[in-house]
Amino acid sequence: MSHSDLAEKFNTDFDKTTWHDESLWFVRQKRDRAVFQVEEFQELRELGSQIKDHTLSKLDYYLEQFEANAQANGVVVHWAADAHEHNQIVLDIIKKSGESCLVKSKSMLTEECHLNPFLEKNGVEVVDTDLGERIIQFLDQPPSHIVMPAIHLKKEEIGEVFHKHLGTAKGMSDPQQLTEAARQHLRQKFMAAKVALSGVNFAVAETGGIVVCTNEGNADLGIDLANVHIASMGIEKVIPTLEHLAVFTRLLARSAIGQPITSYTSHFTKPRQGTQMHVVIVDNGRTAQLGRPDFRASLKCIRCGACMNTCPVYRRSGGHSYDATVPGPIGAILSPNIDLKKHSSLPFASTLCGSCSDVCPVKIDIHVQLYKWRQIVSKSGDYSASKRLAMNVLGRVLERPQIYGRIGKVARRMLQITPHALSHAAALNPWAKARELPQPPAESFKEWYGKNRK
Amino acid sequence: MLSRQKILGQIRANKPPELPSPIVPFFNENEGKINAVEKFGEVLRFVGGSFYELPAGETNPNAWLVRELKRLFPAAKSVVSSLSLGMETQTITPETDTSVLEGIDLAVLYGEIAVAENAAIWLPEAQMPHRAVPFITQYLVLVVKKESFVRNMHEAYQLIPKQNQTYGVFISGPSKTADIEQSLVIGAHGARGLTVFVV
Ligand code: SF4
Repeated sequence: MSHSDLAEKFNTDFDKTTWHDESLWFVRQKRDRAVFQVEEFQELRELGSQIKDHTLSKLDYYLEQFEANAQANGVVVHWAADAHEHNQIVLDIIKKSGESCLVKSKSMLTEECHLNPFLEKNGVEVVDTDLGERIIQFLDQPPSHIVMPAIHLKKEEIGEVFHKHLGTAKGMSDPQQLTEAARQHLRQKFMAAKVALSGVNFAVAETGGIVVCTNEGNADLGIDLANVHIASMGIEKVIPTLEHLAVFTRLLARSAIGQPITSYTSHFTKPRQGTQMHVVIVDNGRTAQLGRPDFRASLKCIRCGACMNTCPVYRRSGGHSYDATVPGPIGAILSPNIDLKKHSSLPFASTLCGSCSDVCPVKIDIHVQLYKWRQIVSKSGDYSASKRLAMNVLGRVLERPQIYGRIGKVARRMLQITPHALSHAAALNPWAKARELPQPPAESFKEWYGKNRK
Repeated sequence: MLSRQKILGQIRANKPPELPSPIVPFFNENEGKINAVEKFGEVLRFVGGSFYELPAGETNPNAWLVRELKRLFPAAKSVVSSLSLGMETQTITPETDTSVLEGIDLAVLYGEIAVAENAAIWLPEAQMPHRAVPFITQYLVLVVKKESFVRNMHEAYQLIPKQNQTYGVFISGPSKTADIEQSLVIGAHGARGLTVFVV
């Protein structure tokens, strides 16, 4: 289904759509408040952008440096060309440990690789330990946002889920009580699990360590109690030094949720005495993206989610309408790289207002890339027949000023006499679904200019 | 190994021409204008922590600390500390069993660096009786020396040795979540409260 079809489904509940819109705008406002307190924030964005550009231009060098240092620290480093290889590596590590339960903290990469269903098929119980992720895991849904996975759910819905899965009282919907119930439930899982998997926010080449940022403390709790730690990272997560890390720790949480830093910024460099640490470095289409000059900047993303919170389309269509692991503006430029046909409608899920690029902490030109993907999609013909027809006709009309003038005159007259029921028939004019048409002017600008020119 | 060569080969074929690495400044022009301890306290309260400074004229910081701990955590039974407080504490080592760790009510640990801009405190493994302690404890207390305050993350990372790191965490406030309707709840999985004492 295209983005607009899925967005339409989301919009059938008007109040919920408005609520969703406002919740995310609230996060955007918190972001602004946090950002405005840091005088040098724009300089930090520029630095963040340049550090990422530099790293991508020497990515092979920094990955090798990271690998060598990690190995010297006693970490086992694995390389996976694609999702399947990644999943197989993770499964093999778990099997070798003789365990059958995995506690997992947030990792968008493992979502991208569809790790959970793969492990479950192979007899491993997977427990997502981030509160939002645990909620959607119970519901068997994908995350609708990369930082707030359950942002599309109301507390009453979550209360219902917990009632069913955790045995909380029916009708209980207080966030405090629900969080407490999840805390008790997940503590038992933490105590029992011997294998923990985390994502990676930053991998520091000069130390060979990885950095994981959370607010809940679930990554640390899982890893620090387990005997085996597996960390999955995309190749683009590496940065050169701790000086560079300083910049990103200042950008990430402020951009993401308006906090000065996440509650926990954890540096895992060596495994705990007597335990194992594995890092899986994954490509899965990233090297191909690196080879596309127009789109490689998307690899700079630090997954803060700010572009989603600010996007007027995301806010009113919901994360699931993108039908991709990463939704929102950044998802709309990442996904076509993976499957152009499936995701051909995503570059059009934007007003091109550019707000995403304005808030992006690493200055990715998101709206420019959206525009460029549109060119590619329209050339490849992967968009709807009605749009293609309309664009073709429009193109031909715009090429011929005389026809344009004549049609304009007719259209102004027609609009005045067209009954509202016809001009607003949803099937004919989806644009007018929630909008009024402007009053057509009596004359065109060209006619007015002809009369008034001195 | 095959994939390693493949990935690195594709990067070499596809990467753009080399771009320069920027110099990261310390952003400390405001040096002297900002009171780092005061700013830290302000931000810590914003992120849900509490903050106590050694009162002027108090000559025995240890006694003050113990008094305050008893006052603030009267119900704490299992207390763990890396400081010699002179109060009854439990011995925890890296070998301690999970079932014992689970029962910790209060952990009192030394923070090595305190960052004013974001109320983050650097806690390296050397200050943890067991890696899980700062997370599994119900309440966490971090004690920081007055000299350990810096303005921002650039200054903080300059103080962290690049060699021989094992594990270390910047902790800013208690464990929290806003995953349910954006309502902030303190005490998700980690410590339910963070109290910072400056001595
Ligand atoms: S594209 Fe930029 S704003 Fe969007 S998630 Fe990535 S880093 Fe954040």
